[in-house]
Amino acid sequence: MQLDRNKGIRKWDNQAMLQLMVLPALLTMLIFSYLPMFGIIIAFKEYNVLDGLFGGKWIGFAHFREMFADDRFQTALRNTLAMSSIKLLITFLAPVIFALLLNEIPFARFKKWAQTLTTLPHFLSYVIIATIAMIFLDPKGIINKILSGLGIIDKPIEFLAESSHFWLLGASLDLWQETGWGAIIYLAAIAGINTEIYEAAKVDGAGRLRTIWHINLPAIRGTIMVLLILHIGNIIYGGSNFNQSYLLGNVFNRDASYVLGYYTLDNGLLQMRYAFATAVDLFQSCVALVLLLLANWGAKKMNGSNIF
Amino acid sequence: MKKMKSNLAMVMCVLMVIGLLAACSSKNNNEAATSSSPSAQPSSTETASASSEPSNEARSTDPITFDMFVNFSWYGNEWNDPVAKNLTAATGVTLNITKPVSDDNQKLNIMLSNKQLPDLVLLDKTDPALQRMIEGGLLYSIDELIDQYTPEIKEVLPKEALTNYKSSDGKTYALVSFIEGEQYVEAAKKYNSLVGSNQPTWSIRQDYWDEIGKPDVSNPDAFIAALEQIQAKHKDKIGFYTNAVGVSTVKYLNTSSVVTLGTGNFFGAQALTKDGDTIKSGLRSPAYQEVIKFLNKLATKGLLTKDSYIDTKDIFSQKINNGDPVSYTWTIADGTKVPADNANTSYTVLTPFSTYKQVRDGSGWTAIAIPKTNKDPKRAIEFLAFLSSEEGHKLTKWGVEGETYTDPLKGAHYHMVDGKATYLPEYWAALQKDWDGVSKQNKLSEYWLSANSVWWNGPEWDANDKEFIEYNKMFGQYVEYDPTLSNMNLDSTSAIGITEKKIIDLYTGYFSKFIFAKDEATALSLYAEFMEKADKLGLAEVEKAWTERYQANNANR
Repeated sequence: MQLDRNKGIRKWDNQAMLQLMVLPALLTMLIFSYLPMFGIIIAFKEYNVLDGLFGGKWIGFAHFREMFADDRFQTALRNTLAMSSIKLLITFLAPVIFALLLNEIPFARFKKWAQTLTTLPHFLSYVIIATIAMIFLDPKGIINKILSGLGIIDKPIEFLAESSHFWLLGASLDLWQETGWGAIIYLAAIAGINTEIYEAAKVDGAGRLRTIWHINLPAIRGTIMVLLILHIGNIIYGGSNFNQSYLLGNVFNRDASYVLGYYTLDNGLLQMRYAFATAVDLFQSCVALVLLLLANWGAKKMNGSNIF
Repeated sequence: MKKMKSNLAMVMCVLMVIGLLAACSSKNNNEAATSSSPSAQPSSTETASASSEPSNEARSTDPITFDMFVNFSWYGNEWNDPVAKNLTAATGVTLNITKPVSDDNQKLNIMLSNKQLPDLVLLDKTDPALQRMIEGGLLYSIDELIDQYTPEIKEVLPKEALTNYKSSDGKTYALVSFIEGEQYVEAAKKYNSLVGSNQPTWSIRQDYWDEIGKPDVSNPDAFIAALEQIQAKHKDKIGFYTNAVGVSTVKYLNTSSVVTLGTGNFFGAQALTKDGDTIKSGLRSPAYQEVIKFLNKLATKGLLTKDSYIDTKDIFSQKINNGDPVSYTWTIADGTKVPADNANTSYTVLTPFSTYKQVRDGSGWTAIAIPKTNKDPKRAIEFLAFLSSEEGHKLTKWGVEGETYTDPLKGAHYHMVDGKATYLPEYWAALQKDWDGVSKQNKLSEYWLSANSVWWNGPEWDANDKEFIEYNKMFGQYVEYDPTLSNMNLDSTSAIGITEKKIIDLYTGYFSKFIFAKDEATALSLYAEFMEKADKLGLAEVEKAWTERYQANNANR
């Protein structure tokens, strides 16, 4: 026992320098992630900025009751879940396929160009993306002109004025913006595969498709699962949902574009109802946590590629 | 080597931790720095708290620094320009100006919850934070400070400043700028300046209008008929482009764009209507129903597209600059643009319909308050008194008196005409040409801490400006002042504020349905359906709250 402890201390001693390096990260987490979490208490309070965090009356679950009784909340919840699910379906596998395809391109220069070009949209601010989208998707905009020029449509499509288009529109924008960026992590995983394995497969007579199926895919399976779990956990927040709702939403597509992020901003922060906003966000956090745990548990049951 | 590497790593870690902690505590450092500054001038602080006698004694011009928080993220002054230098020379005051990064009140609310306010706060007079500071007892009463230290300023302040902004305890806690009170209206009328370049109006493309023989468009039906003729010739244009940016994001139901829906003031719809001693929502008014009928008629004829209610401000002005709309709603200043596709024509301002009505409350824009954390309230009120005076306006707005204009910095800027300071025509022309550029150089008309509209706007008034004589004839008769309808916003965090927000959201989901309904009967039945739901949500209670607010406001005046 005594020996073990000494061993432990000696081990730590040897690694002290490395252990110390973790300190800034730990402190950052503590200060910016854990300490603020304490503010959650105002979700159960009648909060007034003048009374501060500790003032105000405890009101239990009143904010939550108000939230669940609010039909705007229900609309927002429905839209958030629908939009996130559609995005998950459409955009999740795209980077995987894209990375696999990109990996097969023999011309290094073309490959580089393709990768750079597809990664760029990720770095654009959403305000710019939304403005470009609005100009392009205008009934008199370039997309309608192309479609009618090709004879596909005879009347301009009002992309932004029809609530039935909104979810697909959001998913398409995500597809355009994030596919290239998302592929990077898979490309990295593929690059890490030992070339000997390919050579062995070649000797065994495996073609391209077989190599992809039996070598590349299994190699990135772990990465895919991890990202899938994270994506599922994020369904209730839904990545770009808020940006799209806030910047591309309007009175015509409101039925479909009103999402939880917008609801929180509009009824919480802008109305200066911080406690209510906290309550809505706490609800989202809890759902996200449950989803994450469920997805992780599911992944473990299926094939053991869970995160924790 | 290895040793060196690990030492380096160690140093970096320590630096990062220090950086992290420093970032967290930088706020405290600032405070330490500012709280030490008053001790540099102990004399002035002491005299302030000691003296209670009305001051006829000479004003102190000892150097003093006030921290001022300006709750506008776009505020551009930093007290390092000629105007600031002159003000410091005249009053001894130096301002240390801070502002938020975004306009969502986060920073001010954090200050409020820590009760750490600066020496002066400048914000929109309708800002809920102002009410909060008053209720929290965080502010000095302006009228008490004035009575105590600068009673003579009552002579020059607009008389409304100390009567129309009383809190429920009968005291005034902020000094409001740009009040358009009785004196202002009288002066503005005298100089044909009641209607300025910001007057809302409709404009029509001159070339298209001429093309169909310039028919009468002075009433809704004639206007629609003319648009139909034009549209028949120019199919790809937008018949009527409303200025509806922001209609769907209003914060208060008593905002006029709620009832005008981007039609400016042409139908005279008002957000609040008076019915004897009670206040009703303009959504119930016949004028508002006229707006719906008009827009619906345009929509069914294909003269109004959904663009109006989708486009952002940027796209809105882009389309107008392109010449896409046949007609649009904006202001006089923006109502005569030259369309990009025909440099030989321009848009022209339409004569208003006889239903045009603009009710201004004349209640001003910004407010400046002195928190109790102020290090020297005597010097603060003296500073504001100076800025409110004619002398103050000379330094902040008028500039240098003289007859020959050389450049924006040296002036001269104004001369006296019939007892009124008037900008030299050359300076005024330079301003008109490049307002931002000129005012960036001399910062005149940028420091509106306590601006008196008569003196502030006065230098820009030219009774002989032919264009504006004409505009004042066109619009002047439809402009009314009613100060009793100011200060009507309900507290958004209260139960009634939440009800109001629910009605706003209901409305946001409905109004486009009225406008783009397939015919007038459907539009009106949807409207009736909306009103029924709004009443169910508690529109009547909101109206009751408005009425109470209105009666309380006016009992105070």
